[in-house]
Amino acid sequence: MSILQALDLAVSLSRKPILHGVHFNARAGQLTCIVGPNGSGKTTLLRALTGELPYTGQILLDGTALSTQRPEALAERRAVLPQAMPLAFPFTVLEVVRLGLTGTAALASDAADLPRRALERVGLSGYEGRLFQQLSGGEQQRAHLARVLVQVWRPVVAGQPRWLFLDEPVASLDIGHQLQIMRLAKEFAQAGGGVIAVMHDLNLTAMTADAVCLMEGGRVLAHGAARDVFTDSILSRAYGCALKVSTPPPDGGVFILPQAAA
Amino acid sequence: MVAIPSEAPMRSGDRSPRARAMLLALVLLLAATGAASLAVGAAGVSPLAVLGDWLAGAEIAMRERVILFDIRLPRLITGMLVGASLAVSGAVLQGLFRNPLADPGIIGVSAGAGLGAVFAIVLGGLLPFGGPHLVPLAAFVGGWGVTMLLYAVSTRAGRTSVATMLLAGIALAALAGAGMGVMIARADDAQLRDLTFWNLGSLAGASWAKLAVAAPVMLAGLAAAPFLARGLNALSLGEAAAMHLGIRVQRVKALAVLSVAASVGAAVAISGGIGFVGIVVPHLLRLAIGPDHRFLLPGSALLGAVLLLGADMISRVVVAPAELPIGIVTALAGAPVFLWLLLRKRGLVDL
Repeated sequence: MSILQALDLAVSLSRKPILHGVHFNARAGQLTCIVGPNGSGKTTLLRALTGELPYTGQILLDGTALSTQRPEALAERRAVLPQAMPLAFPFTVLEVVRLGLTGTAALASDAADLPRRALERVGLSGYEGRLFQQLSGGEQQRAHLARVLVQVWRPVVAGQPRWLFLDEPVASLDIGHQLQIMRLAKEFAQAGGGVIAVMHDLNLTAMTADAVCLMEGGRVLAHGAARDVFTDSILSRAYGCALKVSTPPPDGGVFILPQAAA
Repeated sequence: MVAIPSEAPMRSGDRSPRARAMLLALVLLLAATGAASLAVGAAGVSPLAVLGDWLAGAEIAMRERVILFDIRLPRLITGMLVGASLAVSGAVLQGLFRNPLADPGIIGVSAGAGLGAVFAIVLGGLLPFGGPHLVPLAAFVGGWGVTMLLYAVSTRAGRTSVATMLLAGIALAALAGAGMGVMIARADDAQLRDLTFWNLGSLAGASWAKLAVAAPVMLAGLAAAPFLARGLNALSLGEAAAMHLGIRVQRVKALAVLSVAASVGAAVAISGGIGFVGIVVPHLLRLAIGPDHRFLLPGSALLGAVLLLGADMISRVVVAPAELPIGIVTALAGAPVFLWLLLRKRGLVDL
């Protein structure tokens, strides 16, 4: 079983401590969601896990320190979807998605066809020739997701799972596309890959996540199944407001409802 | 949104066939321009007639041999190399700064290289070493220093501020200008003569001797370009995203800066200040074949060479038998393009 671990992780940005004493783990085959209030360190944790930020402590992929891996080797094993990024030059959507064809992905026999299939999966079929800069925010987000998917198209290669790191993948999407993208992430995990996603929407998280990591004030407040993490008391403490968790029929899934101030 | 007319009927989104066709067309165009450049000149020597004589086994007159092989040919090669170097440097800088407005002339890289060259001309005599290699080498160091400084000043957390880049470039160019002033004030009469001719920006002084010194440096800068293409493509997504695509970002950046400094340094050392080639050429190519650096960089080399040879022919013809400095021709053609670029970019008001 492939596992990504962070042990006693601490991150400071311009000498201000953002994360401290963070223990985190995620398993391949699962969709792990990181949630928490604004400024709790969700994105910082994700960026440390992907090697973007300097940290103290350890980040291990199957027991091997991530910091010792070469960028080329890392790019083979994981792909990262950052928050919205402006693009410097007028690339077409197809050209942007093709940037994901790196390493062995570029050499695969079906490489030429992958971008089209990835665009189909994110619901952007027929957008190949459009200029990326002229797309809406949500469309740009999904085009980047297609690029990331192309990079790690097969969730498992030679017995080794690959990982997707998604920073608020559904932030600027409508509800239909939110569900489509979460389903896609879920499918990647079910096929044996690992997915770690920073999420804002607690209900969407409860609906899809296999494991939830709730952050607050730069620490992990709770870690486990959504049912265990999303309780009235834990959530109300993390978000500093009254939240009521219910389990409505038909499937008894967790549903979070804010309580109006009396 | 700004409509880009030539790109409207683009169904597949794949511009690489078009880009390959364009590269082929540019090779042919360069061959034609080069031939024309050999044929045009005050002396009225026709390379075709000379070639005919040579094929017929006849002796080529000394005068024609000198004009063709010792005047026009080195000038042709110098023009091609300088044009290619400046255009590729522009494209590389634009990729590095993630901004289509970067140009070695505008952001002060050429001024830094010029300062290095002036230093070498004036103080070169004081050094125990040097010789003919000193001027291009000093120009390289000057260009490299400015590029490094500029990148450090205008880039924070992997994002480049356009305003800081352009303004810092102006400041650095002014600083380099002041340094040149100090050097010029110290120069003796013979050095002043060298400086004046160099500063006019012209291919007129091209010779095999100068080429032998500058060409290897420019070729080294150009040779780095193919290794930068993939990295610069990825960098247009930002530094973090490029790293996640498996690019060694720091290495790409260092190589880009070195390549620009080498190309611009040697080009400035041999031909003085020739502006706007680096901004006009990549921009025209991006309109035609898109921003993919795998095609943009070789295309820039070819079109830059064509453009500079064309400008050189204009500079030789318009006020014949005198010569217009080629920098004036490129500025006349390039400055309006730069302005147009500024005006059609939305959101630049709040840069």
